[in-house]
Amino acid sequence: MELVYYDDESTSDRVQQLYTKLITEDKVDFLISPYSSGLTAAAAQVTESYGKIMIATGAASDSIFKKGYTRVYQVYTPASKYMAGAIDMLQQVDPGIKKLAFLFENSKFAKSVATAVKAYAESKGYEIVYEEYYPSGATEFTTYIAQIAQSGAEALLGGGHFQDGQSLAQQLYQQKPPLKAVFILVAPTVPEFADIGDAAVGFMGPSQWEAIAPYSPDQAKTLGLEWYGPTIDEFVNAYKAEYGKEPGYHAAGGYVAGLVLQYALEKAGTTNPDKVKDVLDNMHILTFWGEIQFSSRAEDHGLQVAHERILIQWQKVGGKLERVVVWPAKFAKAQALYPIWG
Amino acid sequence: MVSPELLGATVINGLLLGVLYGLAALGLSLIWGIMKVVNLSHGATISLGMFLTYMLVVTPMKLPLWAGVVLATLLGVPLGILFYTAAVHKVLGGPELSSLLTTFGLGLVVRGLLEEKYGGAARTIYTPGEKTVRILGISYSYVQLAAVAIAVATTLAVYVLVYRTWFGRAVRAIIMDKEAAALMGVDTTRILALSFALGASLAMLSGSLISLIYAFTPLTGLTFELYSFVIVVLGGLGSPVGSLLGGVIVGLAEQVSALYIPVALSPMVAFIILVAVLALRPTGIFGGM
Repeated sequence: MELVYYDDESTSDRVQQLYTKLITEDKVDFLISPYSSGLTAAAAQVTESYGKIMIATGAASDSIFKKGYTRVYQVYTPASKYMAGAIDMLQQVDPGIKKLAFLFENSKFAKSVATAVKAYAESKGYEIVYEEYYPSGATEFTTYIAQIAQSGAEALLGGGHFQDGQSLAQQLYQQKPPLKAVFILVAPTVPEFADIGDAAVGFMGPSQWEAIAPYSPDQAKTLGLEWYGPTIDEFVNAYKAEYGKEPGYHAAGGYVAGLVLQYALEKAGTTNPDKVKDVLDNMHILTFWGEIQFSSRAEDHGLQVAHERILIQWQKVGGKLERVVVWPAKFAKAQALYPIWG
Repeated sequence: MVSPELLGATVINGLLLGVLYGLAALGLSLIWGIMKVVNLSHGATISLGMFLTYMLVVTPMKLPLWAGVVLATLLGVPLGILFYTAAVHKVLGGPELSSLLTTFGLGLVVRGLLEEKYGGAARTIYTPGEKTVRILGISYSYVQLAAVAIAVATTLAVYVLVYRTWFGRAVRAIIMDKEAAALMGVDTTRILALSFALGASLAMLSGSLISLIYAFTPLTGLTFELYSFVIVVLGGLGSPVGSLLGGVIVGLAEQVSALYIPVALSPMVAFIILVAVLALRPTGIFGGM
């Protein structure tokens, strides 16, 4: 097997050129998506038109899978289910809270998360008293934070990608608006979030995967599913041996894209794309990443339907910054720090 | 409805941000005013100042913040002289397009090198545990306030340099008539090289200060370069105080407008002001030097 890859410079144009090149010049058999929903949507246009199978990782947007594509498969939990856990958690931890602020990135992914969680929150009786979408790449949030402080919001949901989320957290910590809980997409789940030091404490975020997740071959037996690939410990140790640091969910998500492909190729016993597609359409397995099953419905073909997400929070454990799982309760290893700034 | 407190806080925030915009524009304004060169490597030099500071205070070196800022600024001098002698000098006085393309090329080289080394991911120089001051409900770190103070002080120092020293007189003489200045014994090549070095060094300083407050990528300098054009047009070419005031106007326009229109649209306001000024008062609000 040979891996061919290029630097897409995070631009859609480049992605489309390179995916075309991969298919027509490099003659690759299978593809793995670029990072982010926007770029994956651009790549999917190309791979679909050539009838190639693409495993989408790092792309959580739902809309890619509602365009009638039949050969794109998502390993991430879709954005529509991303932050529902935050609402569930708030309801349990502090039923008195009713007012939420939304401050998400103006990107495909973050907007689809926001739209979904807004509908969910409103159905649970929450009022969204502040709603703004900042431009991608924003690093200055002082104005937004001052507005949020004025809005009467009691909890904040927001973020988009890593850097904006980290800057937002750092500036929230500096300003300390009267919020009791803050949930941020992506950033808190990345180990480098700890670079902001004590400012990291208390921030929560939904994670696709954590090394402390509860999946095991034994659990597969209980659930009546097939276990495939390395255990969590095996994956984490191999990754650490190679790269010298803990894998975050981006790394695990990248690995699992290859793992899914390997599974499908083994089962199909051929690289014939139709046979491999058959396996992908019908598989339901448990891996170190969690459950994996793709929708085979026409209206959202390839959408991830089985993988579940957890909420993590940064806490000081014995003087050291650590991510702990605080939700769902059945997986939680620690009590959530609430309210965020004591 | 925007409360007076929020408006006040936003005005202060816009002022502080605007001062940094002004400093970022100062180098561009001087080089443009003195040499008639629109320096399109300005943004890349600002980015370079950010990453040099990162190298000096985060990794591989771990110098104190002030040392990082000072060193990055000083390194701007040899860099500017190198740019000038290697590229800019040869196209000076030629068609405008030559100097535009030359400096654009220099910018691409610097940006390419930064992207090669650091990729597109943002970096930050956080100063955790930094003390803060609360002004109208918004907290500012000491680093942030110090950066603003340095920006104001630098602008005033450059004003003194241009209007109160022999160097400044020579520079202004060159602006008025380069040949006459040379006949009066001004070593124009040296003065121009030093001016370019001053511009580069100011760009590095502004990049360095901004890097202590906000996250940055090799492209961040470009955003400041764009704002710099607006500011130079507002403040007039080569005017240090004009740059500072222009920066404050842009900072205020961006921040205050965000209270009344969607925040994502607020950067547009600065450019609307640019178009309006160009149409109504092409010499800039504060005139030129």
